[in-house]
Amino acid sequence: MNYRIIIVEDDLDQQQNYADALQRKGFETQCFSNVDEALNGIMNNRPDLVLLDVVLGNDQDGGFTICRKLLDRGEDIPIIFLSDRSDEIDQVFGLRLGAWDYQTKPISLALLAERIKSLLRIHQARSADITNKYTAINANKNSNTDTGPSQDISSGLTIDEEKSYAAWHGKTLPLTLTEFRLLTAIMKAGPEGIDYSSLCESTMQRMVTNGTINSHIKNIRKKFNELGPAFQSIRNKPGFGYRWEQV
Amino acid sequence: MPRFGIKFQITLLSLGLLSIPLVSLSYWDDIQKTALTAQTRIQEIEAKAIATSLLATQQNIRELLAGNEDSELQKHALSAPSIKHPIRMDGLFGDWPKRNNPPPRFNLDHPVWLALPGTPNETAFSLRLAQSSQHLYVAIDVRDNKIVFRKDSHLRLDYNDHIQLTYNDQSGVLRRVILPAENEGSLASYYTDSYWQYGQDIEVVALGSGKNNNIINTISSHKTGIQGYWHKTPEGYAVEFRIPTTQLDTVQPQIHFSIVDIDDNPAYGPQAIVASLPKNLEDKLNPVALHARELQRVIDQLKNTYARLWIYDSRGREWAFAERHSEKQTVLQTEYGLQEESPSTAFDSQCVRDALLGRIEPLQHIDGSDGKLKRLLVCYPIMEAGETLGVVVIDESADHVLALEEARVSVIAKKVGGAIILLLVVLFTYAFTLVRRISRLSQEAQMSIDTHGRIERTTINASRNFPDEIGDLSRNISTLLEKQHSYMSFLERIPQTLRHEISNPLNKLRTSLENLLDQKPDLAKDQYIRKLDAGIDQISNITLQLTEAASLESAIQEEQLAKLDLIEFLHDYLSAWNGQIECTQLSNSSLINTSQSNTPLTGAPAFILGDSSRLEQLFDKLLDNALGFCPESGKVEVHIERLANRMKVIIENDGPLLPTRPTSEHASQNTTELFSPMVSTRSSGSSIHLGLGLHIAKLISDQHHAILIGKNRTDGSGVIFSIEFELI
Repeated sequence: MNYRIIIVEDDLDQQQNYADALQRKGFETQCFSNVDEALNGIMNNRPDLVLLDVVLGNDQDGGFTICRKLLDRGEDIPIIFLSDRSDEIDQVFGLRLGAWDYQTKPISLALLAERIKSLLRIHQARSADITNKYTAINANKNSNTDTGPSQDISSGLTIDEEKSYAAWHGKTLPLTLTEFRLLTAIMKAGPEGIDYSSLCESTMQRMVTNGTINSHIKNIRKKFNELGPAFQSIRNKPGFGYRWEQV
Repeated sequence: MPRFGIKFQITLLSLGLLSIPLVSLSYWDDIQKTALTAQTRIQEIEAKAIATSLLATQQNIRELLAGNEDSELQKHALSAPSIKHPIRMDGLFGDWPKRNNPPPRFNLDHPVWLALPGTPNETAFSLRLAQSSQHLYVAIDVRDNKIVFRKDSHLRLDYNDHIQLTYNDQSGVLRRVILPAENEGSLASYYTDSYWQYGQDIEVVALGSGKNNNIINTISSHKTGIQGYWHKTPEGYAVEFRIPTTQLDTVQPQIHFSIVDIDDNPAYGPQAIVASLPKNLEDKLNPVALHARELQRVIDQLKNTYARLWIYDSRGREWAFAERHSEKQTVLQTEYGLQEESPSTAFDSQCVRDALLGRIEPLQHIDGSDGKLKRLLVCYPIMEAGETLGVVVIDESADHVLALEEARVSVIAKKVGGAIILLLVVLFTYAFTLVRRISRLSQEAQMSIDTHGRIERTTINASRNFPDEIGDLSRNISTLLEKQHSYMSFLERIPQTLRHEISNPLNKLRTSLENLLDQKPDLAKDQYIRKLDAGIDQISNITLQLTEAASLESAIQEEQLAKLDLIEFLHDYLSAWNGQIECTQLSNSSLINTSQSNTPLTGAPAFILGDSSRLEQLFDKLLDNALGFCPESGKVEVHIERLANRMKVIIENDGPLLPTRPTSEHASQNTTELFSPMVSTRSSGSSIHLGLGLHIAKLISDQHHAILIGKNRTDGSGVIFSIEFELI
């Protein structure tokens, strides 16, 4: 079964490029360039995933409008924002609306396809059985394992890589896909740590700087701390990267 | 340049106002001279007016002043100058007014009678007269080597030393009074008859209510109205007494004194009699100049205008006298410390003598002992038909004139002084208000821009609503700040704007290229496609930097700083950098040396409030910058300096210098420009420098309350960036 992707982008050239690339990867695509058409298209034929540009024509927040209306209707559709608006406030706003990911332009089509696949897999897994018990494994012992559920019992952290799910002391951590990947990578690296270049690769984004990684780590820490006890397991190795320390 | 503030300037200028009273003071001497000259002139006019008025209004002026006495009698006229204060009747003459000439002395040069003619006799007396408005005062100093007092058993009054007084009463009737030497104390006096032996009652005619209804009153002999004192002196005795002027004839006043010396045997009669007239005039009385009521009325009208006024006849007899009211004097004395001279008479002065000689408009300024002008004496002759009948004398105290002038000038000076003080206060208040307004404006203008030259607020409230030049300046500064703020906002938005504008076409390029390569994989080896790919990556990198810079400022505002060991951080950080350089060969010839010349990087902990990832970003930018500008043969050094409660991290690199303004005294003065976004001050060949690295470094250093300074080495071999943290 081919997954159906709706692309909402007001720039027709970019729209065409996304569609061509995704079609070559085996996805079905449908393109819209404004809010109303997009909402009608989504309602008429529910897609598996939606790629949304934030700025649609003169509507500066068109992408956000579509996202909010879909989630208001209870639609459980993974949404990825693709935008040139890179301000942190825009990213936070988009993710809080319920988007699964927020990618800033320019993007790599290959990596975009991989992210879409990953999101669809996660979505599928979550939809299949969200009540499964997660198998507890020690992060250090399974550092070479790429997939499968893992749990750092001692720190109170629960991770399911397959579903990109993380919980802190039993409470779900609302991490983005990029943040989840970074958390997983650091946790797997253990006390030895992981350098910035490896962390950049784990984000599956084309242009990532140390500053970008640091911003993500700050967001991760913030989300941990919002849920409860002080989280101090992710430690900075100045000039190198980050390490995982069991507290 | 020394500070020369507005307050100081206005203070200096205000002091110039003080020159006004100083200059005025220098004119005081001129004012005094002018006042005295004017006063003299006024007195002269007044005296002339009085003289003219007397001649015009007093029909009997000639009779009054010239008199009809024969010239021989007039030689013996007695003078009775006016006195200001009553004289105490105590037989002592110390309270009598002083005179320039000694009092007339009468002795045996013209004795009336001697018991033993041809034998020497010492009897003599001196006589003084004075008058007030109510009394004629008499002082007689008698020389008598043997005083015979009246005995209680004697009824007769002439068996003892005594004085015979004769005068015309107000009705022109001759009255005789005998003043016997009874004892020390109150003077006894009795009316008597021409025998001078016993007391004799007198009859006085009083005017009745109707025609021919005059009443005759009898007055006892001892009720003479004379009050006095008898006092024994070493040479004889002194008698001091006063007679009411109402008992005297003031038109043709005449009086006569005879001293009767009684020695060993009173029954034999007097030893000698000395009179105030010589023997050939024994049937006459001495003329005495009592104030004439008609003339007195004329000058009384001016008595409050001048210190003293006199009218003398040509023989020096005083016919009228007036002086300023004593109460007024007291006020002057109290206010100005004025002590007026009280000359008993002006007749002795040269001024009067000149006037009597007919010299018109004479005047004389009398200098006191201290050389200062004390009195203004103006004398004007009363002349009729070429004959000088008398003289009008007006005397005024120079001190009084000056005191009045001074009082007037003082009032003016007080008003001028008050006005100057008021003006000074107003000037100072105005100056302080101006200075305060300018200071506030300056303060607000300074506070509107932070230490890095960023505009914090665009509205200046100081003097904003004032409709003057400072108000204009305030509003202009606000307008300038608004314009500058708009421009700065535009500059600050450039990275974000550029990023927004570039990202879409860049994304279009990137995705198009990817699709192209996906469709035609063999193109991947084409050099132009590779260059295109590299170019897109380069532009992507630029947009990434722009994004980082644009988002940093808002991001760091929400970040919390935590306690952090700067030494440990730097140790870990620089270890990672050294490893990275060796592994990745970022710069073949550039080396990072962690110099330990000042403080080992592995020293005692140095805690600061910080964020390790932001510090990492900060040092990344500084080291990127240092390595980027370091030549192949150059060197980058990092070392630290521990200060008292601060720690300085210094990053030095060889290479091109930071540009310095020709006028800059310190290279660090261009820090603001150096750390501004989109400003690259150095050329480094092919590398792209948006000038965002140092801007980001500056933002992070500010977040850490650290001081970031960039400057050139003193030897010109490279650049030094230092960041100074505050330890906790």
